[in-house]
Amino acid sequence: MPKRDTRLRFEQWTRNPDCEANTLSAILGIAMAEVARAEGITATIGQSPFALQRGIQFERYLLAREGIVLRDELARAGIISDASSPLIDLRLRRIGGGCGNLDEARERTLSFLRNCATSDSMVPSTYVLAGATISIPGRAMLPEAIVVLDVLVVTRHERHFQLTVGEIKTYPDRGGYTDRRQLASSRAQAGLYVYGLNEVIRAEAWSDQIRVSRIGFLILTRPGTNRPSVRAAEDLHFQALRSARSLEQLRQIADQLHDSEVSTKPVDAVLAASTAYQEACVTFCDRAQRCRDEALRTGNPAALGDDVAALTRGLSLSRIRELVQGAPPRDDNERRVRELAREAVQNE
Amino acid sequence: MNERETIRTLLAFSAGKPIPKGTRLLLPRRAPSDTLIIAFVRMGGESRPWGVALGKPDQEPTLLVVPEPRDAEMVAQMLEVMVSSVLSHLGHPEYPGANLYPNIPLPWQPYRPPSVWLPNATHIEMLHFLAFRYTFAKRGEPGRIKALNALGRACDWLFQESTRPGQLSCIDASAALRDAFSFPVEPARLAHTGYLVAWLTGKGNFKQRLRQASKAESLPISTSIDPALERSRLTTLLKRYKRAQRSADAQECSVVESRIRAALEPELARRFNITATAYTLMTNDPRPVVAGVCELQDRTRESHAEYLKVEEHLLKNGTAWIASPETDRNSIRAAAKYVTLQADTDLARNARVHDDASFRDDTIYAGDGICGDIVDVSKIPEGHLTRPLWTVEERVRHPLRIREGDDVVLAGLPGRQGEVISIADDGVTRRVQVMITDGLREAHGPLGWQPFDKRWVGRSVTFLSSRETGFSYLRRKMLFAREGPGIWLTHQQKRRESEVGEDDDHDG
Repeated sequence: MPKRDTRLRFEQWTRNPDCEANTLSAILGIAMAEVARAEGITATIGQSPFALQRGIQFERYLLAREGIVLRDELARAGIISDASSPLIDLRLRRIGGGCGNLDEARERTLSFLRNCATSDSMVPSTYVLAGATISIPGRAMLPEAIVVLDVLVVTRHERHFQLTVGEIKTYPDRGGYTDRRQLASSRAQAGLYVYGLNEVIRAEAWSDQIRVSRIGFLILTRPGTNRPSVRAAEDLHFQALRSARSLEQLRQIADQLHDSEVSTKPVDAVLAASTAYQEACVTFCDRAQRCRDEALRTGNPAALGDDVAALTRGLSLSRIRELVQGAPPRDDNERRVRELAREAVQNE
Repeated sequence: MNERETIRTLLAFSAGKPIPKGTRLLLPRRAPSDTLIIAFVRMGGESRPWGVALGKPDQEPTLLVVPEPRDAEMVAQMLEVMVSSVLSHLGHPEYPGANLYPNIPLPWQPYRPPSVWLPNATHIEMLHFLAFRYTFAKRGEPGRIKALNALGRACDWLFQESTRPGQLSCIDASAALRDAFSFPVEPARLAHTGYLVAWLTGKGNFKQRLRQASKAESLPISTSIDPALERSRLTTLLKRYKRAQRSADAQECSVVESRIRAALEPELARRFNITATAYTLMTNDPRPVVAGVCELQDRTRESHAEYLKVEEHLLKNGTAWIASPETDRNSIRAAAKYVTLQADTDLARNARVHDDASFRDDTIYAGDGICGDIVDVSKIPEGHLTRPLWTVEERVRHPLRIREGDDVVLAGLPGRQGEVISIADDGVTRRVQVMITDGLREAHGPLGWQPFDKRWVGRSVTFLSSRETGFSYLRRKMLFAREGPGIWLTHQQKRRESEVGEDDDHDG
């Protein structure tokens, strides 16, 4: 069954948008692990059950007792002015929230935003929403692009409401030493939420009443403890632009899909699609090994990394080997590669 | 990855196996008795260790495991066991190690810098986690907390060392192998030490070695355990352990604990053994160590002495300024650290560039060097002196970062320095005039002729941009000066003489 929260699918796709199989997998919501299993490959990329459990526990700790810990930390980081701002919990009931399913969460989120846009009756000036759920308009993913926001801070300004996006992660905040890839991935997620919110507001024509801040925040853990560490003032503008560009690309591809592909045997559709191996595949795709073997078999230099593919500009691995071993070059590109190789061997 | 790195990947592919990178090694060879290997495993999502392996590379490791890594007390008890091994290796005054030179009085004994090897970057990260967790920890049995505080500071020093260019104390095994060899694989796979070791120890052609390496790659080497193992065995065992703990069933606790130990010990041992193999590969490499390693050792000694000074101060007075694992806390200190890092970067580069021809070529390729033939040796007046002026011609192959007025140094003879007077470039040939300013006397070796000597004409020479570390050290000194323009602003922040720090002993 396809996953409904599309954030992971989207991130998977952005790691290698050139791979048709990856694109289809993201659009149709079919996990690559499932495709790999259908192909007879043992899936090895997966999340630790303890890490998942820890994530749930950390979120539960933050949001327990009407989110007192979360609100205190947000106030300390200057994201909300008053720690007594109310928390509206829109998470699913199975993880401790108040909504039965994603549809209900989405409906309640929309209704909350509608209230912001249309009525003046909302008394407190700041709200903290946990698990706000939106559908990104358009047809970028099938059947629909649903994203669940970990934290959304809604602040009343003089003439409009401002939405500030927050993302909860359990990895440790080590100041300037915090894992850059993990930070980049979290910012990318938050950027998608900024873009999604902007799209919803535009579709509902609430642009005058509600604005989405380009600045968001991340909630990480302090190393070795369960205490949160808030990284405020995260600029998400360019991540939101990246999401917009990528989702537009996905939308165009999704529009070209035939309905038959969508409805019948989606795993087979992904299996039948062509692949384009890249170095990044190693980090997320269970079929990476198979694709790398295929690249080596066909002499695709991407098998030795993206830099090699970029440097050799379309030369096959066998031709590269010939040039390195002294074969005469046929054109300028081959001459360049041979010259570089000759320079490199001089003092090795 | 620069183009030369990429082309080395192609050369390795053509050879069908990893190829040595450069003609010299940067890491000095250390005896197994002078080396400590530490490897960790941790539970997914946690930043405390679940188990630790530590020991000398030629001995069986000590394996420490706790049944429940989320229990802070259990982890603290486990780590207390490793305190003496780690601190005595670092020469901590309270944990003196074995005296290897009993006949030599202590002050005259040869300096043995610490050498701690870890499997890869995730294990070095764990040192930082431990520093965060224990440097300022306060709760718990006082004796244990004191030992763990010392462990936290030691881990922080090791972690900070690992980020310093040219350091020799905290070695990431995968980085050491990457630095010494080029592998015919994608850079994304190069963090897996087991994969690299399998490439280096494997036999056969490219395909056979690739198969062996891929097999090694399927076994994790980072601090995280394979999620499949966590799912299949450890989840159930931990549930059982929790149940037994709740019902105070000591026998069941002990049974489950031994099963958890049985699941984790092979994981720890594998990480330890791979690191030991990486250490052996580096130690047995026939390439000589760069001549400039002495300067790197001196710098390591200086940094090590700073760490020991704090520890001695703490022992004597019970208080000292302790660096926070998270922040410099003071802008001047941060600035000083920055310029010191710049100096260390230059020192590491200088230690290598005169001795390692391949590294020198990388430097020239990056635009920081001129390599050509001397076409003229003449004289140029400078004040009341006359200086030698060399005209060097080189074929233009890549852009040049060196500009007129820049200081340069003769590769292979660091004492001979000069200033670039003019650069003329017609797209094919580059003509550079260098006035020799230092090293005018005759020196030993093939580059030793006096610079006025006409025999230089026709000789091939390499000039590299001069990166003197002295200026950075001078800047560091200037930062702490209490007189001069602008100090009313830069010295506004009060400097604390001791650091108390925040205790993070709350688990929520």
